[in-house]
Amino acid sequence: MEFLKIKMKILSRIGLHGTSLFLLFPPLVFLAIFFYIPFIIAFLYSIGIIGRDRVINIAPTLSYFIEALNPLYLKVVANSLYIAAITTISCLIIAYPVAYYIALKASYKLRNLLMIAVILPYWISFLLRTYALMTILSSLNMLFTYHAVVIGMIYDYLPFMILPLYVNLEKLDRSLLEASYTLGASPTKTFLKVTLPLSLQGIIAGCILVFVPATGEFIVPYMLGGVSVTTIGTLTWDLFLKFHNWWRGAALSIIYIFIILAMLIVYVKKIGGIEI
Amino acid sequence: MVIWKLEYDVELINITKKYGNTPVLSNISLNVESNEFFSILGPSGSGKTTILRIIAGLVKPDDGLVKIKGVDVTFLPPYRRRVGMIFQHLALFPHLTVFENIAYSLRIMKIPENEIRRRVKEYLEIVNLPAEIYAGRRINQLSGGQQQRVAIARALVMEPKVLLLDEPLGSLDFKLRQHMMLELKRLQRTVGTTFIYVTHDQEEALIMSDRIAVLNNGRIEQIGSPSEIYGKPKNRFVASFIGEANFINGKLAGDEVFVCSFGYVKIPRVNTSLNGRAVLSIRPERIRIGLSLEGLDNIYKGEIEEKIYTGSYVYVKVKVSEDTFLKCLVPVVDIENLGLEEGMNVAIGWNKQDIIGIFED
Repeated sequence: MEFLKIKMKILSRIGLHGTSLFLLFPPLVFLAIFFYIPFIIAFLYSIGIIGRDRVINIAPTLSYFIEALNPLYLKVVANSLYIAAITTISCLIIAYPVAYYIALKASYKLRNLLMIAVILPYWISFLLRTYALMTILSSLNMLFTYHAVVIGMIYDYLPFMILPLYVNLEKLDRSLLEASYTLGASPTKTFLKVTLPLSLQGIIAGCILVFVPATGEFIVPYMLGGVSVTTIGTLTWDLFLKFHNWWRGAALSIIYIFIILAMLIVYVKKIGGIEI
Repeated sequence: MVIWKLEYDVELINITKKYGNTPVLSNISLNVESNEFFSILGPSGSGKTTILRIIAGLVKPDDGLVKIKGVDVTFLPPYRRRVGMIFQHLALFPHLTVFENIAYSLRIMKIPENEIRRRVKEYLEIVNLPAEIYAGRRINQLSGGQQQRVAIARALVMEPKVLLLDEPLGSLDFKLRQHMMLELKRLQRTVGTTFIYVTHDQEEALIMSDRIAVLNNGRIEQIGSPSEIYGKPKNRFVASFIGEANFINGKLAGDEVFVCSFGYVKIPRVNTSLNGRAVLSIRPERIRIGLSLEGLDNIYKGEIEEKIYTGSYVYVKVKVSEDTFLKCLVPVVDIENLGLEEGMNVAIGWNKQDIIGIFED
């Protein structure tokens, strides 16, 4: 009884009690079936507990991780991070003026129209759009190149940068800009000293939303890069489905997850622990 | 050779502004003198904030000229005008500390860092915020009154040609507002900057201002000192908007007599352009009340209909005819001395100079 009481106390302190548990239940079950359990299985593969011929081994091994950490694979990881970084920076540079215009300059009517224009392509399947891009890029003689992959990634991820920036800029109190003008700051200085720092949270959110999935992206490098571009996504695919080496593939996936996690923690900490 | 004498800090000449088809300001002209505490008083929607924004350069007038210290600035952007502004919701930068907020304009002017530190400290002291305690705080760590002070320091530190204040006390509670009113007045005298203060609160305007412009529907109804605006309102709107007033319907009979439902009223000589129906206005505190009265120009009989207690004064509503009631403001002491009760018959009266005006109906 005493134990139960303490347990309830802890649960209620972290905000988990009656109603909230009930509300959390469906997503937790969903995540358990489609993420936590597969993740655990992948983990069991990666340390060899599920061994060759699907036999359960008692003794775990790090050999698959050592295999996955070979220089060739690390080059692929670096390549993926590089493509994701270029995609993120390009998206930020393209998206900021767009979001700024929609949020602060456009009339109310135009604003809605432009937001629809940003979202509209997403009514069409991602795969179909990438196929469409294939024909365009091949007519430009760019298909199956590094540039094709970067163009495809920017095209696909742009709205994930525009939307958080728009939401953030739209909240910006315009009287802050006016205050800045009356204090002698030109529009350019006002942008640098007020608008930009105040939209930092939107920038962070957008960068995370683009960078994380871009690093693990599979379809774009697979379809637009062909054999000329190898990323974590395509390599994992090959390991699992071409070479049937689930063990090494699982180890690579887990390394990837930890790299992303570590980068996220450093990134958010560096920016100053701003809540997103 | 013409020698210019700079008399005015701010001059508005025939300013007109429309939003779409709605006229907001029609032909506004006013002059604000140097070192003056000038208020623009009007109900919401009267266009008073627009006037302020036009002076700041945040809004362009459709027509007319804006001059600051004798220089035409009509087409100058706000950041070239050096006009300080306190916004209604203060508009302090939430991502900067108190120090950085106040230093903002000085940084833009590229003033040396040690000079910036000295001036920020000086202005924090002027607004009664000790720099050691508050300079490093974030804006959201301050109370409403403290934020107000930071906003004032931020605007004054750049030594603006004029300081514009857009209803800055609106969001404060009663006590703090009373306090900040006196504080603002003191501050204005200390720094000697011209203040242009926009408000819908007649009390704020009367207490702080050297002169007041009363605005209604985008037009200036009257400009004058608080005592002129209160004691000699130019029209019915001004009389009703500032302070309490009785309005008695009737008509002029000659140029020194007014006829109404309870008899004749002797009035100061008026211009006879007002023939026909007119409204006579008198302040409640100008009406004498007693069991019997004598020696006044106008004396009437009435019955006390209602007493409303407000603290040190009592509003006494006196019925003087079937459909006319007059409000009198009587000190509690007099009520007690005379033993006035509801339903009693009393005498009320006033001299003709007590009448604040006879207006068009």
